[in-house]
Amino acid sequence: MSADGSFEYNRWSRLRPARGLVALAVAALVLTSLATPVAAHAYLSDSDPANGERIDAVPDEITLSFSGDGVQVADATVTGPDGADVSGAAEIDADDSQLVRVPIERSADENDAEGLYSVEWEILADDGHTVSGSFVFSVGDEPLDRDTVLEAHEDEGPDEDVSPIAAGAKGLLLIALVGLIGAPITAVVAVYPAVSRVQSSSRSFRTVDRRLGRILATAGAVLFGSVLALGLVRATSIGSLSFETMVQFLATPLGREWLVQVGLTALLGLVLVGGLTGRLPRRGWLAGTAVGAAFVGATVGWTSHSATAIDRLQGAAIDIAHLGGAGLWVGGLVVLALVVPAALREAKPVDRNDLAAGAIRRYSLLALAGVTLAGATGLVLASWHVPSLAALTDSLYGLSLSAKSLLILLALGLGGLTRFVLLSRLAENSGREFSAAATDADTDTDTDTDTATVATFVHAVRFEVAVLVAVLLISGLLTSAPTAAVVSDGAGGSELVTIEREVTDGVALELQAGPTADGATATANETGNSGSSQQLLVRPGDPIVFDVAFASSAAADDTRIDSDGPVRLLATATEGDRTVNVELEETADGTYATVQTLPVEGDWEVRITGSPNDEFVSETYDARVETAETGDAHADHDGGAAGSPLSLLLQFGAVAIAVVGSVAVAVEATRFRERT
Amino acid sequence: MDASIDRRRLVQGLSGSFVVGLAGCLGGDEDEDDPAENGDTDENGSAEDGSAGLAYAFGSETIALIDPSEGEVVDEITDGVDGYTYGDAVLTNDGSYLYVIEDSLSQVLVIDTASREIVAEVAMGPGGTHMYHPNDEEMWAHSDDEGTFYVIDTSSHEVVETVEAGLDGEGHGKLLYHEDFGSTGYATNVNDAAAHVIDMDAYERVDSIELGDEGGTHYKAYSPQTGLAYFERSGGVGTTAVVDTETNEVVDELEFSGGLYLTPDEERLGNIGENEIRLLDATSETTDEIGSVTVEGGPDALEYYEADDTLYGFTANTMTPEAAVIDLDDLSVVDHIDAGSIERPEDAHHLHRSAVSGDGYFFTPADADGTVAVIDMANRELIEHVPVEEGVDTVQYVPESE
Repeated sequence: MSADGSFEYNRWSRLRPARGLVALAVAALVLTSLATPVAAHAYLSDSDPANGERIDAVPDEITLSFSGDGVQVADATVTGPDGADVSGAAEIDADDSQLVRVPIERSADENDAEGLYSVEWEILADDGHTVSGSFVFSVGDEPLDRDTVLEAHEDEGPDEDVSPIAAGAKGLLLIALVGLIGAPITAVVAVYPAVSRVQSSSRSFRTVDRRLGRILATAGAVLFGSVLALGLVRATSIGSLSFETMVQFLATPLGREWLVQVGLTALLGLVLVGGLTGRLPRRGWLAGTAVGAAFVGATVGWTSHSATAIDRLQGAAIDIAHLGGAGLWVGGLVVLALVVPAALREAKPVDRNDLAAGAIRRYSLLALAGVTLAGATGLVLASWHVPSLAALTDSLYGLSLSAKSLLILLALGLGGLTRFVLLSRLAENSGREFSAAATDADTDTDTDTDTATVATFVHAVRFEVAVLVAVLLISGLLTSAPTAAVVSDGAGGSELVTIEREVTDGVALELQAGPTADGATATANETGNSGSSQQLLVRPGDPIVFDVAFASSAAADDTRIDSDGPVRLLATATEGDRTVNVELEETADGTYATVQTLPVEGDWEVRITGSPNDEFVSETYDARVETAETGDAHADHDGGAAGSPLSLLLQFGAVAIAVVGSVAVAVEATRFRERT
Repeated sequence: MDASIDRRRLVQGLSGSFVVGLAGCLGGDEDEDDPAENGDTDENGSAEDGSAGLAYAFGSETIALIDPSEGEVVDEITDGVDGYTYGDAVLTNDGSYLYVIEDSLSQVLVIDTASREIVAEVAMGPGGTHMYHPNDEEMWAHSDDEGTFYVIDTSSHEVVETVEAGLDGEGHGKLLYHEDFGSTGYATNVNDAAAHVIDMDAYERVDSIELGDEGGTHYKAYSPQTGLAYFERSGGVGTTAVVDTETNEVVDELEFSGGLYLTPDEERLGNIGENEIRLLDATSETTDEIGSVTVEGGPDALEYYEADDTLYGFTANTMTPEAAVIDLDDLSVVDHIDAGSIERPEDAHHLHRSAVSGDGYFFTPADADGTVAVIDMANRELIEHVPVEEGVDTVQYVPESE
């Protein structure tokens, strides 16, 4: 500290904005971390009647309750026992877009109304994704049909199929937006100031203008095309592409949002045209481009997973911030890779080092801010949409995110190489003359150190750009697929769990049960001759198919054996007073099946009896009925990661990145000011 | 049957209207292990010290062991007993195990009388009510929902065979067996107007003796003196078919119905009618009626006791909270003993009250009071209303060593 303390004061005053930035970033991230994470992408969370429910009379309407996103367009078909469509037009509740009502046309003959009803539904969610499914219920004493229940369950849960056209269009849209946001800002903040400092600036200016114009024009065209494609793809979720379909689509909130998107894109196009034709001043059209792209990005964020599932403003803000961060980083990098080399070629050899170093140094500041913003918001998004580490491999979203994360780490490594190794070399040699040929990345004959450094720099930057373009394409897939939280939360587990035991000499009892909540898990108690004891995990109220087959236990012989007496299932709640006692029906494929619900939470004992080869057998199985909330196996899946260890870790990481990144940006900015 | 049911409701239902439907055959049928009815007077073996001289009172949550001499519960079995409802309880011939049908989980409980523990739970078909012990090695438990006997090996406590007795795969049924029949048994079924002939070695129904076109068959009895078997025609027919067991032909039809109980000397058959006990000559080829005695209060569950060269009948009344003692030689009611009340649902048309006897004790549960009445048959007096769990309607006694 100096005697009068002036130095400390200056440093303190210089760092004050940085402190504010840090505080703001941390506060914003903490607030977003407090948001209740729920699953994005609409999925059917409840219905009345419920799946598998038996009711006494045909209801007036079917109610479908969705979680995650709201519903834009709904279609449902209720098929009655005689195969006839008994449903009216599905209506979305005016006050609650997550509620869909399907009126039922009553049968004139009440007897005809009894039986099995299947409900097939399809909705267009707020995020523009189509989700469909089906379930069954029965009226009267009609037992649930095994095949229908299995079929319904296979349809249950989020559909992970993603339209490649939609994902591709979304990826291109993101690439375009990132370029249109980041490139103008980088040009204004990093490139033009660096060019203006060298003697041959006028030629370089023109080169930068020309190159930048081409890049932005291309990005604008890509943006327009991708926006159009996305709208058309979403419209086809209503029906085949036609004028009527488009009119119907435009009548939905999603369609109107798309119209706004198209309008903003068109305005952005006008700005670009004005800039490229010289009718608008450079700073004006560049600023207009960045702002216009940001607005288009806002419309994208407005219908994102986060906005529709977390909170419109909060989710959209984080999404837009993520996009903006990516824009500063990737968009700037594009300029660095495609514009700066051209400017260097036009500059005098003696200025090239200064130009390159100046542009890189300024861009580094932007990139650091962008990486900080994108990294912190990215972790927040992940904390919302990824409930567990397992989800990273169990869903398309998780796999995509894993791949994206790895590529980002690679890009960060390349960025570090550029910033800390190559920039240092350029700074050391600043003021020295180097060959213009070195600016051409295709030339590798010059052995001069500077030439090699610049060539390496250009290669590294272009490779980094390529990696990040791949990241953006994957992001298109990410934003098109249901989040990992949705997949975990709504997963149906359509596979039947199979437990096979030898019950008598030469006879095996094969019990298939399901759909189970999470398959069957081995318990701690292992039984001797029955093989490992397994516990079936099921959800309360869910219709469970129990399918029993007797077969020869000889390895080479899987001949089915008939039961000479009734095959029965007796399920007893260990705690409480509930039992289910039924005779199984023989199926066409020689098994014995029933569909039952185990209505009470807790441990159950399931006993199967039958008489294969006229020999009475009795086998007991353990089952556990638990909700997602109570089930340990599902604790990590709940509510899209609410309070899960991974979620907390990601949120902590987001705050850490925000703090460290903000400090780094502040320090870098201070150094930069001191240097200049 | 889809039976997702509240077990407590089931218990309530069983103690109410359900007992009505089968005219006194559910909730433990004391007559099925009564050697008198089957014409076999020497079925029960001696028990080990563990339970000898004790009566088992089967409650939904507790099985109480009653010492009749003290008139109190001396032990309880609660482990694994949860919301149970019971059918017949039958002691093995050697007295080592007490088998009892537990219908709520379609099973037969095996109680080790020495250790007073449930040692096995044997799965069977649903609707179990009656169980029979035709030989030392087997217990035959009848599943009314399937019309099928489940044959349990008394050594392994496992079902070794099933015998489909009913024609339609369902129906409440009983089994008549006697050493005179050899390996043949006769099965009744309330859905079938026939007595089914069972080959008990081959474990299959080999024939059905047609008894008419309507109704079914319910109670059964056998008179060794005449070789005649009696099958009550249920379902509103109101008669009793008489079958010659030598030829398996119907030889007579008696114009009354109801349970038939052979006296220890095998010379008379007691028939329980409404407010009446009819005595029949079991030595007569025409089953002549000896006489009858009016017993007010709805007699049920006739148990015999001989003293001073007089044969007495003890019956637990359904409509009054008492047991009646009948001099069967004089055909007169000689005593009424307080026995406690049973549940009487308002919509009941028929009521049933079980009773067992042994070693000079008469036991009858009073499920409405939550007691078991223990009566000294020699002195014709109440020893105690032994408090047990409410709803107990099944009792079985393990005799002292003979």
